[in-house]
Order: sequence, then structure tokens, then C-alpha cells
Amino acid sequence: MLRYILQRLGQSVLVMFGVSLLIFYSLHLTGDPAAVMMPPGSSQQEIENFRHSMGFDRSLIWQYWHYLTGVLHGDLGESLRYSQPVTELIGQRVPATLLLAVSALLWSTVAGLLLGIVSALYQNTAWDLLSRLLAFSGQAIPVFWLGLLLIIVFSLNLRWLPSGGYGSASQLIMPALSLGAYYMSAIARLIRASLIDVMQQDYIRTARAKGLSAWRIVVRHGLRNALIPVITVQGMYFASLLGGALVTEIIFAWPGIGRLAVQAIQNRDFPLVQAIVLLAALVFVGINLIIDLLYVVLNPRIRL
Amino acid sequence: MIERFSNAPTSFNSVNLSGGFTLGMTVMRIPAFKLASLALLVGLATPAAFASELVIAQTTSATAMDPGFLKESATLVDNLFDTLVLRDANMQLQPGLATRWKSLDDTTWEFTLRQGVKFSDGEPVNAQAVKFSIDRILDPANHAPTISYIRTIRSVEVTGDYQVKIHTSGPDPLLPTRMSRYPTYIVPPAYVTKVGAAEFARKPVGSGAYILQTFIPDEKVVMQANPDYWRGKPAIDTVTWRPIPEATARITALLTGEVQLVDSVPADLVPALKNKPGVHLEQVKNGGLTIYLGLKNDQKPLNDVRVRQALSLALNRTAYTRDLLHGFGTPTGTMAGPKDFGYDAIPAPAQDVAKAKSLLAEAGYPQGFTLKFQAPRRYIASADVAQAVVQDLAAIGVKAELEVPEWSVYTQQVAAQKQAPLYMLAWGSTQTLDADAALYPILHSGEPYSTVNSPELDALLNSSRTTVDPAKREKILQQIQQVVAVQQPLIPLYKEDSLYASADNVTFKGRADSRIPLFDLRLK
Amino acid sequence: MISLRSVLQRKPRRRFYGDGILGGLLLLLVIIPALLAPWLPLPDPLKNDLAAAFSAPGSQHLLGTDQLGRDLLSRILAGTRLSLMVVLLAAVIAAVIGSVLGMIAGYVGGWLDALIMRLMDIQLAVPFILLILLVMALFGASLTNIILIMGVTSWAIYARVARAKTLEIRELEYIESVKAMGFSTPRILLRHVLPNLMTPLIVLLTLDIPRLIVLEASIGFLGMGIQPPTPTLGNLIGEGRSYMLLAQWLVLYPGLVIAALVIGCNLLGDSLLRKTHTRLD
Repeated sequence: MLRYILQRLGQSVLVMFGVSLLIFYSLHLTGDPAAVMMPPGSSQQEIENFRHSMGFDRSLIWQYWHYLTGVLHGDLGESLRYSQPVTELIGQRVPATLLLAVSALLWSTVAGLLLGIVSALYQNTAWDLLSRLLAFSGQAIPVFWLGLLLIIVFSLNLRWLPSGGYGSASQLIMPALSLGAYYMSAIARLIRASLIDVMQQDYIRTARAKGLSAWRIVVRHGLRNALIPVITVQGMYFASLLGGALVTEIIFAWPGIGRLAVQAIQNRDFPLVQAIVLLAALVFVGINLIIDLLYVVLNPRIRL
Repeated sequence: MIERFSNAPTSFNSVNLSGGFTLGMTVMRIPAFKLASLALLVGLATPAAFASELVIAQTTSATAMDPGFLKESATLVDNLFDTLVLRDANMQLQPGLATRWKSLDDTTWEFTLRQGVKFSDGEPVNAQAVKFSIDRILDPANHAPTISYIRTIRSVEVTGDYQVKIHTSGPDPLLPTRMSRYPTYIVPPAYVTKVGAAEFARKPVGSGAYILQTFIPDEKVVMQANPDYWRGKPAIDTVTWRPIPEATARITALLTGEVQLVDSVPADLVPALKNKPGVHLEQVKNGGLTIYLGLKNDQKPLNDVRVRQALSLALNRTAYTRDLLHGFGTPTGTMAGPKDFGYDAIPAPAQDVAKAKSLLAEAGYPQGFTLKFQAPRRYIASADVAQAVVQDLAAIGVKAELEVPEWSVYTQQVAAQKQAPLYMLAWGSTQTLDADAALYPILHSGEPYSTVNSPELDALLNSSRTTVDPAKREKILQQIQQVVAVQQPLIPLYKEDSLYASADNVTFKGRADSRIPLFDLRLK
Repeated sequence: MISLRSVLQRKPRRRFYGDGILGGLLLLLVIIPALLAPWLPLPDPLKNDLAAAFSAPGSQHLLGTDQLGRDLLSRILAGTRLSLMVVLLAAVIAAVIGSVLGMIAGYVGGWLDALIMRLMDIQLAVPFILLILLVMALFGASLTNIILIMGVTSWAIYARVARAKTLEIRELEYIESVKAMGFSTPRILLRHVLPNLMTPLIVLLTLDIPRLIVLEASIGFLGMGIQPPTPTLGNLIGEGRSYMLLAQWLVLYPGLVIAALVIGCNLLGDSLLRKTHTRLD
């Protein structure tokens, strides 16, 4: 067991290293942002001075080495545009994204479970098709379109909700709705599939034959085993949640990591882009690691 | 009407539904509604209830508040700090922190400072502060990105408590103008030295009309009126700036009352404001950028002046501004703006397809030629104008292959001179209101954004920067524009208007220098 | 089949297997007009008509016009064609890369397997959209770039499935016998392993295409994809967003088309999944 953990940890570190290398080199492939960062009207000499002071004229390998040693000391560099340490900047924005992600997760999990269970119980009837269509809609409607629709209806036409911004509960409703819709459908479909699967198992028949109540069967035996594949895929879905958060934040002017990332890319703010990508990778790798370990703990029958 | 979508603050004291309320641990039996009405009365009676408030929506968000090290526009910082020289509503230079200034000789200017002005931390605004503020930008160790704006200043000399001499490295007729905009805002030496530049950028202290209260990057900036401001207490108590990059969201916020003033309204969204009660459009004619077609003068066939003239004559500028900019632009024949010093009112050439064709034939291209063309979608309808340009050029036989690159890709290409031989760009002089800023960087050989190499223009541009006598200088600047109109090293297209939208109860007059001086705003 | 409902309530249940057909119909409803559009009597999607700008949907323009007076219906149809082409090509590229790498990983095993698995992890660790935005910002938004980058960032799932299936197949007896006969590895992979992969790969493709459609639309929406005036479903919504105050149809209709495509593909894919008894985990 310990060997497995160490192995996975080692692999995770390798993955992180690979990501940082990939991002660093691709960013620097198209040249440095020195000219873009200086105000228009600056002379060539001034741009050169800036370039030199930022170390952009050194070799790529030197720059990467410099960056790597910094990272290992906890220094991920300073944002070119905000002149603040990127860790600080990211720290400021993370709560907003977390709030959005958690709200989306909460409502979508509850709704998804309900939809999925209804689907499974009334399998292959018109009810099933209806709930599946609803679930599909969540995955079919692009996050940004749903967000825009909500804005059109609730903000432009009804004037009930503000069209964006951060700070009050009413500003959270629409972004969380848009972001969670995809996740809700994914959970609904997964629960449905795995619940159907599980219900066909012998031990369910046995439980029924033993005279256990229906709900006991569903909750204690059916759901618990049905949830396993759901949990397994959380890692992948979380990555897509981050991606969805990106677009949601842009539409609703939500000051989170996603919006910061897009702005950083558009501003060629290399240190910031690198740090955010590393963070995203870290989160993903970390979650997958945790899930793999949880998996083993939850179901000892699974052999490694 | 200000509707604010915010939560009421929650507190440890609570009201329970049976009508009593809990203060800490003790339960008191005062009916809740009586208490509420009392609170309301008290609230209404205190002066705080009469605090006037303004919310402004902006396109870009402020990243830092250090006026010497800005990487973006100075709209916010302009209200927190002062400069030695001010610009009034008519764009004339007026005394600011300096009461008088004069040039002692070709390379020395003397400024006499206003006495009795203090920073909001109590420090005096004196000659030491001025020297400190400028030195920190000139210091090469600080890598100030804005150093180019004051590159002519060699040193600042303190000659009295309230007198400084500024030494320039050559004759600099623009020196007073430089002292009216960033980066020459005056900062408090003791405070900056104590907290350091990084902290100063987050918690600035200045002598301006407003004091920074809250600064949450990308979310909001809140400023409070400075009661001890040397020009008098500002009329509006609290101003909040909210960055809303998306135009529809900005305008929606105005329509719902969340904000009362919006900068940068795109021309094609103006119909959304029509017939909406309580809001109106504020138009500053020619207050925006000048859009032009850049040409790589050293490449065939653009190295032939007849070809360049032909390209210019093929274009129907009036149609662009009328149809694509909905009238919010004015065709122009020069890069300088009407409010700039040295402006020469050169009209845009009228479209003349026949002449264009004959010029091309004369230059040896009777069949026309093919050319790569790049235009960004960044400016008002610029991608659509680019397509109209393609159509107009096609009519004289020039096949322009249009590419619309993404803005960050494009800026990098342009700065590295890797753009297409024909490219669209915008330039302006809104901050200096001097033709030099609109001409020099895009016409002088060797400048990063210039694809022109003309010894004649270089000589004129150099002399415009060293001639101190305003009358002579004006003539030189006008001459430059006339040469440009004939030689067409680049092709000016039109000047954008700048459009603001505001609630009817806000008195705001848009300015040609794009500033939003809160001190001049009034709430009805 | 035992369903909990029947266990609990002993009521007869009605089966409804029409979802595959429904899905197929929905897809055809969108794809056929898109393919036929060049021959239909519709206005040119690229032609400006400023006098008719922002016309509401009506008899002249079935779905209305945009800020330059261009007909929305023809732009949507043209955009659908382009978006579908991008997505299909990208999916095929991803499937090819993925299945090749997956087969090799599953069959050869050892360090090659571990390497490919780690590559998969690296690729999956970065959110797709961030990666694609980065590439588009760095290398410019051309048609080839989009197809390539979308394809290259999507191979991981195909590789995973291919590898799992290959591991299964590898143990089969007839592979042993074929190996014993001395066939070369590539030949074995191509002629004996690959055919067994086709079914799960095609089902996976059908289920993955919706994700690619939404991804392409998101990139277009952010303005980092194919640039206007060439319409794609994404950039139509992106442009329309600027005019939501004046013309809501510009945002509504392209989104409906995307939704229809995705629902259709999902329904079809699910029914294929069921009919072929494929397991994709």
C-alpha cells in the first residue's frame, strides 16, 4: 500500500514537472512580451532596457532554470502586468472561483442525484426519457450560452438580477446555475447508469428476497456501490469544471482564477499564465491522487 | 435612482420573529418594528445618510496606483494625486501645484510651488516632494515603464522650499505639458520611503481631490472626498469605480441604475440608449484615437510615393464613418487631433478612383498588385472598416489579403515590426494634446512603431522637438503634417469620437484628454 | 431485466427505445440544411446590408439580421458546416493518435506503456480550454491550428480505451497463435487488434463529438478561434453577445443549433452504446 502511494506521488511529481516544462517553453516560443508591456511611444532603447531587466534576453534554459529554482523556493515570480507576486494575485482570486465552484457543485450534485435516481427507477419509460433529456440539456447547452440566456431573461428583460459582478448573493445565482448545469447532467447520467447496473446484481435480489425495505435497498446497497464510478470520474469532471468556470467568469465578470487566466494569456503575462496552469495541474493531479486512494479505501475488494 | 444589489450586513444581534430582539445574551422585549423605525429615523437624521455617491463603470481595471509606474491609463490616479500643471475644461494649461513657471534658458525651467498644500498623511507638498517624485522615475534602477514620457528631464534641483529648477537635456518646449500628466504626479517622500513602492501602489497617499479607501483589483476601487483638498472639498462624497470590460454589461449596469457613468460606449450600441429614460449619451467629438493605415515604406511596391497616394485616393472614408461608425467618427487627413497644439486642419482626400488608377499605372502597376493586410478588431468597427478598405482597394486593382489577428498576437507583431506591409493601427495624442505625440513615434525612422524612413521627415521631427519658440514650433509641426499629406508614408483614415453614457442626474462633460476629473462632476 | 421499480411496485413498465432514432433525426434536422445551404435560395452569409441591420426575425430574414445586416440563418448554416468540419477532423485526428498510442501502450507494455500513460496524465492535467487558448494566442487562430490543437489535446480518452481493450485482446488465444506464427507486431496490431477496437472507438467518437462541439464554440465565443467575418457557431454567439441589448436573436438561435447537435449526438451515442453492449470504463 505504501509502495503504491509513493509510486503515485512520484508519478504526480513527474507530471507536474512535465506540465511546467511544456508551458514554459510554449510561452517563450513566440518571443517575449517586453515590447507589448512598454507603453506605446517608448523608444527601442527603453524596450531593450526593460527586456534586459526582466531577463528576457538570456537563454531559455537559463530562464527556465531560474524559474524552477524560484518555484522550489515558493517564488513563482511577479506578474508582468500587476507587478504583484503571482501567488498573491492567485490567492486573491481563488476564493471567488471556489465560491462559484462549490455553489455549482452543491446544487448540481443534489439535482443530478435526484434526476439520476428518478431516471433509474423509471427506467425506459417516458419519465426516463424526459429526465434524460433534461440531463442532456445540461450537457448540451454550452456554459456560455446558458449564462447569456440567463442574463437575457433575468437581467435584461425582467431586471430581477444584476448582470455580473461579485459581492452579493444575487450576483452568485446565475453564474452558479450556468456552471453547474453540465455537472448536474453528468452526475445524473452516471448515477442512472451505475444504479441500473447495480440493481441488476444478485445481491440486490438477495436483499429483496430477505425482505428488506425498498429504500434500504436503494440507499444502503444500491447507491453506495453506484457512487463508486461517480467518485472515480470526479477528477476529470473537476478539470472541466475549472474550464467551465473560466467562461462563466468571463460572462459574469466574476473576479476569479479563470478570468485572470484569460486576461493573463491575452496580456502575455507569462509568469501569471505559468502559475495558473501549474495550479490547475496541481489541483487535477492532487484530486486524482486522493480519489485513487479513496477508491482503495472505500472498496477493499479492488485489488491494485 | 440608485438600486444596489447588496446584502444587508449580518450581525451578532438578531431579531426573532415573536417581536423581541436579542442583544448579546440578554433578551429585551422591545417590539422589533418600533426599533426599526427608530433606527430609520436616526439613520436619516445623521449627515452620513446624505452622503452623495457615484458609481462609474470602466472598461479596464486598475492594477496598481503608483502614478510613476503605471502600465495603464491614469484616469483613477488622476484623482488621487496632483501635478504641477493642470489642464482645464478647455484643455488650457493652468496652475496646479505650481503657481507659476517660466523657462530661464534653453535647458532650464523654474517652477514656483503653491504653499500650504498637504498630502493626506500630513506631509507638506514642497520642493523636496517634487524632486523625490521625479527622481524616482528617472532612476534607472527602478525600471519605470513611463520613463519615456519624461526622458528629456536631466535633473531636478531644489532652489527653495517652494521652488524647483528642472534641467532638461536639450530644449524641450513640451516640459510644462509633461508636468501636467503622468508620471509626474507628486508623491509623499516620507510615506513612499517608509512603506516601499510595492505597498505604495496598493495603498497610495496623495494630495488629490480624493483619498483611496478600498482597492480590490478587478473588482472595485472606492474613493472618498478629501475634505482638505486645496481647491475645496469635492461635491461628491464617495466614488466607486467598477471595471466592467464587456460593453453590454456596462450599459446594462447603467440602465438598471447600478452605475451612473460609463466610459467607452461602442458606436453600434448607441441605439440601446435611445429613448431610455434617465440616461443619455455624452459625445466628445474627435476625443478618441485616429485610425490609420500603416505602410512598410521600404517594401515594394509601397516604396513608390505614387502607389501610396493611389491607395489613399481609393478609399471612401466618408462611407466608413457614416455607415460603419454611425457618424461617430470624422474622416481626417492628419494624425494630429483638432485640440492638439500644432494641428493643421488637413482634410481627408476625397475618393478618386480614376486618379488612383492612373497613379498606379504611372508607377508601373496598371494591373494592380497583391498585398497582405492586417487589421485588428480592437477599435470601433475596425474589422468591418478593414473589409470595406479591401473592397475599395479591389476597385483599383489592388488585391488586399486581409487577416484579422487576435489583439495580443497583433500587438506583439507590430512591436517587433513583423506585421503585414499594409496594416491598420490607431494612435492618439489625447494625453499630451500636442501633435508631437501623434507624429513622432509613427513617423520617425528607428522608432519601434514606425515603418517610415524619410530623412526629410526625420529632420523636421527632430527640429520640432528642439525648437522652443511656440510659434516656430507650430509651423514646423504643421509642415510635417503637410509633408505627410503629400507623401502619404501612412494613410490617416478617421478620428473616432469618444462616447460616454451617464445618468441624467450626473453633470459630466467629456474631455478631449480622456480624463474623468471627479472634482468637476456634480450630482443633481 | 430487473428494475427497482418493478421490484417495488410490480407494475408493468413501458419500454421506450426511440432515443437513438430521435437523436438521429435531430442531427439530420440540423446537418442537412447546413450541407444543402449553398444551393438554397438564401442570402450570402458574408454580404453586408447596413440598411437592414438588426432586423428582427421575419419574412425577409427568417432568423433576423446582425449588426451589418447579414442574414442570420445563412450565417448559422455556414457556421454549422464549418464547426462540424473542424470538430469531425479534430475528432478523427484525436482518435487516430489515441488509438495508435493506446494500442502500443497496451500491447508492448513496459516502459513505453508507462511513458504513454504519463503523457496522457500530463495532457489531461491541464484544462483543455486553457491549453487551446494558449496555443491560439501564441500561434494565431487559423483553421489548421484549431483543428490540430483540438485533435492533439483530445487523444487521451481514445488512448485510454484503446489501451484497455488491447490489454483484454492481448490475452486472447488467437493472438497467441498469431504471434507464434511469427507475424510482426505492427501487422498484428493493425490486422488483429485494431478491428476489435473499431466498435468502442466509434461509440466513443459519437460521445466525444458533443464535447468537441462545445469546446470549439467556447473558443470561438472567446474570440480566440476562427475570426469573423467567417461565421462559426461560437463566434456568432460571441459577436451576438455585444448586441444582446439590441438583438437577442443573435445569441438565441446559434445556441439552439449547438444544443440540438449535442443532444442529437448524445442520444445517438447512448443508443449505440446500448446496442453494441460496449463498456467504456
